[in-house]
Amino acid sequence: MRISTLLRSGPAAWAALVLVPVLVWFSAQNTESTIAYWPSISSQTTIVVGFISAACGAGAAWEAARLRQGGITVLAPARGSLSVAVLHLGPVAVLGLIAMIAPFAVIVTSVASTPGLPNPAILAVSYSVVLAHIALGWFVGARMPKLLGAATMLIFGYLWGFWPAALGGLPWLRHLNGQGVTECCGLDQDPSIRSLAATVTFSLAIVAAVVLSSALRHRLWRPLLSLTGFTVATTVALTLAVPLDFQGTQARDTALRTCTGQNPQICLWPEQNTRRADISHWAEETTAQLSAVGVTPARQVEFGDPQPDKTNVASNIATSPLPNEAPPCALRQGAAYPGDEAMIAIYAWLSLTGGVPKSDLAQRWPLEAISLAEQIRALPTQAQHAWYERNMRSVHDCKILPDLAPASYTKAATS
Amino acid sequence: MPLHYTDCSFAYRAGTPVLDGLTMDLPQGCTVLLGPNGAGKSTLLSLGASSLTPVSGRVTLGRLDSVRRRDRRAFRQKVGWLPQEVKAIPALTVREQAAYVGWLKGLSKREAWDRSATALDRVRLTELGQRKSHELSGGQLRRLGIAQTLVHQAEIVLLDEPTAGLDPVQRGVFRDLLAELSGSVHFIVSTHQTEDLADIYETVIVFDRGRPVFRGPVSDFFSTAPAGTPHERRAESAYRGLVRGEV
Repeated sequence: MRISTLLRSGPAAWAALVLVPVLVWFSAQNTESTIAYWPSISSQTTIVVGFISAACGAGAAWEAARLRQGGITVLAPARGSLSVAVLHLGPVAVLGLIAMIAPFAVIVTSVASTPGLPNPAILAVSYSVVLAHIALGWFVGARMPKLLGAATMLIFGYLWGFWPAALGGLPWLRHLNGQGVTECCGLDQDPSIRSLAATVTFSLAIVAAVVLSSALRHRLWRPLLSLTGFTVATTVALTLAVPLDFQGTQARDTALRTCTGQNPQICLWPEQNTRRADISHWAEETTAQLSAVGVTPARQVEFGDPQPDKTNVASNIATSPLPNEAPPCALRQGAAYPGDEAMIAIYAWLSLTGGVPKSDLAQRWPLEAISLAEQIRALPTQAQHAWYERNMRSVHDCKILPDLAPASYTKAATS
Repeated sequence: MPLHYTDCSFAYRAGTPVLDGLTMDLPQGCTVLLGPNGAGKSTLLSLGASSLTPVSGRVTLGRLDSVRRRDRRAFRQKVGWLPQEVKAIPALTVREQAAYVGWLKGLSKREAWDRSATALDRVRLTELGQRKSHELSGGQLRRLGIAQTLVHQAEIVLLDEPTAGLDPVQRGVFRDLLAELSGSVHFIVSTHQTEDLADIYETVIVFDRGRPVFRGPVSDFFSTAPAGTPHERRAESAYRGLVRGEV
C-alpha cells in the first residue's frame, strides 16, 4: 500500500489534525512547572503521553479491525503478519512521535537557552508507552468490532494514562504507565533509572506478547510463549516498580557541581555556570548583610533555580541557617510544634536582612510576619541577634516556646 | 507445475475429516471442480492456496511445500486465490485494493501499483478504479477478486465458487472473462454451474465426499451421461450420475 493510500485511508493523518494542535495548545498552557534543566523539560512529555497513547491505541485498533473486515488473512498473504502490522502501524507510530515532539518543541522554546541536550532516556521511555498501546490496540482491534475496539482503546488508554497517578495507595503503579517521572526533576535530581526501567520493561512486555501472538502460528506455542513472555517481563517490571515511591527521581551526581568560596561555599550546577560571577557577587553582598547582625549562613549553599536572580540568591543564602525540615520531635503523631511560628518570623527577618525586597517577600509570606520582621529590623543589632538566637532555639526544640515580641529584646538591649 | 496433494487430511472438527489421506494433483490448464455442497471442494482449494493447513500430509507446487515455513512465501506468491466471499477493504479504492493484495502477495509497493492497472484492465474494471471498493456490486467485487489474483502473476489461480449468488447476466460476464483469461493463466474453478463447460474448461474433476470420483477431459465427462441425453442436458446428467456413484 502506498504511503498516500495509507495516510488517506488510515486513521493517523486524520487523528493528527486534531491531536497535535490540542497537545501543542495544552503544553503551551503548562510550562510553569518546567525549569531550564533538560530532565525537567524532557519529563513534560510524560504529562501528555496518556493522551497520545489513547489516540494511538485507538488508531491501531481501527486499522486492525479494518483489515479484519477486509478479510486479508483469508487471502493467504505471502507477507508475514508482522510486516503487514508494520505497514499499517507505521503511520500510527509516526503520529505518536509527532504528537510527542510537537508539544515538546513548545516547551523547549520556553526555556530556549538551556545548555545540553534533551534526556533521551525519558523520551524513549515515553515513546515505549505509546508503542505498547499501539501493539495492544492492534491485538484488541483484530478481535473486536471496528468502533468498539477503537473506543475501548481510547477509554482504556486514557484511564491507564492518568488514573494510576490518582492512586495514593499504589504509588508504584505510575512507574508502569510512564508517569513515574512526570514531576521530575529539580536541578539536584535525575530521573530514577529504576522507574524508567520499570516503565520500559512493562511496555516491552506488552509489545513482546503481541508480536509473539502475531508471529507464531503454532496453536500451542503461540499462547504459551506470548503469555510466558508477558508474565516474565511484567514480573521484572513489578520487581523494579513496587519498591519505588510516588516520585521517580534520584539524587543527581554532586560531582557535576562546581563549588567555590567559603562561608558559604557556593555550589553551582552546570546549568548555572553562565551566571557564576553575578551569583558570587550577590552572595558576598548578602553574606555581609547577615554578618552585620551576627548571622552566619550555612556552610554550603546551592540554588534550585537554573538561572537565579539577585533576589533568589539573597533569599537562598539568607534563609540557609533554617533547617529544611521540622525537628524529629515535631514529626511525632499529635506532637505540638511551637517553633513553626518562630520559623515563619525568622524566615521573613532573614530574608529582609539578606536583601530580599519586601514586595517580593509579600507575594508569598504572611504580612504579619513581614511586619514583625520589619519591627525586629528596626531594633539595635545586638537585640536583633538576641531575637534570632532565642527563637532559633524554639525552631530546633519543641519544648521551647518562641518569644517573638520585639519588646522583650528592646529592654535587654537597653539594659 | 501441477498443485499436488500428498496423503492430505483435514478436519474442521476432530473425528469428522473432510479430507482423509487424499493424494491427487490439480492439472494445469483450465480445470473445473464440480461437486455437491459439503464434498470438500472449498477445503481442497483452501489447502491449495495454503489458506488452511493440512492436519497431515503435504500440498506442494513443484518443490515448494505450503506447510514448510521457508517455502510458504514463495508458495503463496505462485498461487492466486479467490475465496468464496470477496470482501471490500474499507476506505480503499478498487485500484488501491488490487495493488494492496499484490503487495500482500510479495510485490513491492511500486510493482503492485503498476501491475494493478493491468490486472484491472484484464477484468474490465479500469473505469471503476477510483471508486471505493465497498461501492461495487457483487459481480464487480468478484471481478476485483479475479484482478487481485492476477496482479501478482501467479502460476496457478484457484477460484472458489466465483459465480455463486450472481445473476445470469453477471455470470455471463464472468464466464466470458474466464474464457478470455484461460489462455494465459492456469485456473481451477470450483462451481455448481454445469453450463458452458466445453467453452471454457479443458479438464473436469468431480469431487464427492472428500474424493475425486471423476477426472478427465470435458469430452470424457460428457460421455458419462446416459445415451440419448439431450445435448444441452449432458453436463447436468453426467454430473448427477457421477455424484450418485452410478458410473
